[in-house]
Amino acid sequence: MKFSNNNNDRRLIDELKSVGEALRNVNETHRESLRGRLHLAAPKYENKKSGFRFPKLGLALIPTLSVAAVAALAIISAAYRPTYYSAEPFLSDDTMEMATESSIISMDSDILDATSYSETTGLGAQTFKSRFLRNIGRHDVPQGQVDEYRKTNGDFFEQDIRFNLLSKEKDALSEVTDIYTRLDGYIEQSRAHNTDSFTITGRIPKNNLSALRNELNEFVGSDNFYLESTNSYNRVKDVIVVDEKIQEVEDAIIELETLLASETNATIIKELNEELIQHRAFLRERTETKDAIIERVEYVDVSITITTIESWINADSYWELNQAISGYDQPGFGERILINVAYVITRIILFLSYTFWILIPLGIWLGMKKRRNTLFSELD
Amino acid sequence: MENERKIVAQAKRNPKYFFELYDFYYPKLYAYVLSRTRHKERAEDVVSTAFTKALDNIQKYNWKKSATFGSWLFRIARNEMLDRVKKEQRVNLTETSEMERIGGITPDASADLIEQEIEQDEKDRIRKILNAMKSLSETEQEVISLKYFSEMSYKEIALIMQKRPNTLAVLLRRALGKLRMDLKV
Repeated sequence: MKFSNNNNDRRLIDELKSVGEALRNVNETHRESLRGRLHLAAPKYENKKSGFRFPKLGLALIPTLSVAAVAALAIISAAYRPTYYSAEPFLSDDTMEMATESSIISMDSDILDATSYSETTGLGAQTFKSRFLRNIGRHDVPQGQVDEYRKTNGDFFEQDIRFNLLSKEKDALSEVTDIYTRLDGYIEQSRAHNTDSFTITGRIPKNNLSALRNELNEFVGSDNFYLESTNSYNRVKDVIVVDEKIQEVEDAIIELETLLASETNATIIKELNEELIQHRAFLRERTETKDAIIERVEYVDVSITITTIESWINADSYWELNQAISGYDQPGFGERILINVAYVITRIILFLSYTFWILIPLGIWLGMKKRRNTLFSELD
Repeated sequence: MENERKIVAQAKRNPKYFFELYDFYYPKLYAYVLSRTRHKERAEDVVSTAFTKALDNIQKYNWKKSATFGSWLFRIARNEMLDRVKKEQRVNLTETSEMERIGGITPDASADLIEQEIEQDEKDRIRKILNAMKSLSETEQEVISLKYFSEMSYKEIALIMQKRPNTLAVLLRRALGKLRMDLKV
């Protein structure tokens, strides 16, 4: 609300202000005497410290202690997992490095997705970074456990297993690819899930589906794999059927003509000529109908997942190595409960801290701003 | 007052800083109390009591509750005046205004409030204004005193009188209109 004062109001206001000025400037005697009395009264609390008021101090301490508690949890968690096994030392070994790289490269050049493969085998550079909070439900294989494993089995054995793990999958991929190719099919996509399994999607003629199934069963049965799942989708594709007979007849005609040129016996020449006429007639007939040989062939997209059976190597060693390669193992039941409780508490504490530091000051500020705007902004 | 919050904080630790506040607010408070009581000795008593209480209780002063130190100080003085009114009421019930009962003054006595060294014309002018103000309600007089005699802001007046600033603006407007009529300005 704003008022515009007219000249009369202005004069009156000026008059009131001048009276006010006169009233403010009177009674200097009392002013000085009161000052003296106040000076005498003042020393009784001189240099008194204001200090903190407990409720305010408590409010300030809550979020601070909360953050400290979260930090303590993080430190305890880190202490619980002091050092972790890393795949990197094995890559520094010359032999292993070459073997590993060649495996990956050849897989990549074949059809395997090398990126996903390296991530799942723990060979990627980012695999062993800190997992606190992000992967709080997991914990890595302790270095001590890995050291004990190495002490018992040695690095060479371990490296050999790693190499076999990788090359085994490569062999399996090659085998399956060959099976598809043999049955007039081809591979469209291949992806490794982890060190133990991969999925291949290929396309084969529908008539060869049963043959593919038989060959795959034979393959997995003989080589410690098993077929985890099979999915198929029908496809239809135009295919030109190449008539090998045409080529054979053409070759035969050339051969007959060569023989005729060198033959002098009249009887033989007569037989050759008859045979040549028959071949030419057959060739003419096949050539005339060649266009009609293009036909629609029914294909089937087959997606299969193949998983390695662990028993191909000592189960305990395999499991330990698999843990090491994967970078973590699953905590026990009790550990899981503790970790989840700690996780929930951490989240609650963090939420409360954020609420205190952000929402409450924001609310106070907005409230003050609104109050200030409504009450004073237009008047003062 | 510039850096008032800082000075108050310093005054809480060392009373010598209190006198910076005293020097700034004494004239304002005295003008307000004098215009309300219209009695020199009464005004001096109220002002003395207000500053003594402020000095004794400055540790309790909280700028969040009182926008400025001034509004807190003026509220102490105002409560002191109202307490005196209540005490007077117990012993002497009359139909005169509450503030007049405190001062016991007549309009003609207004000039005695002012120091002798002020010229007669100035005293007459002050007397004329103060007498004209007697036709206003107590609230209107108080708003004018705080706004023009003590030069307090609307925000501070609102906190002293416990009224909304919009209400004060309307009161002031109405009071100025009445005064203009009385003074024929």
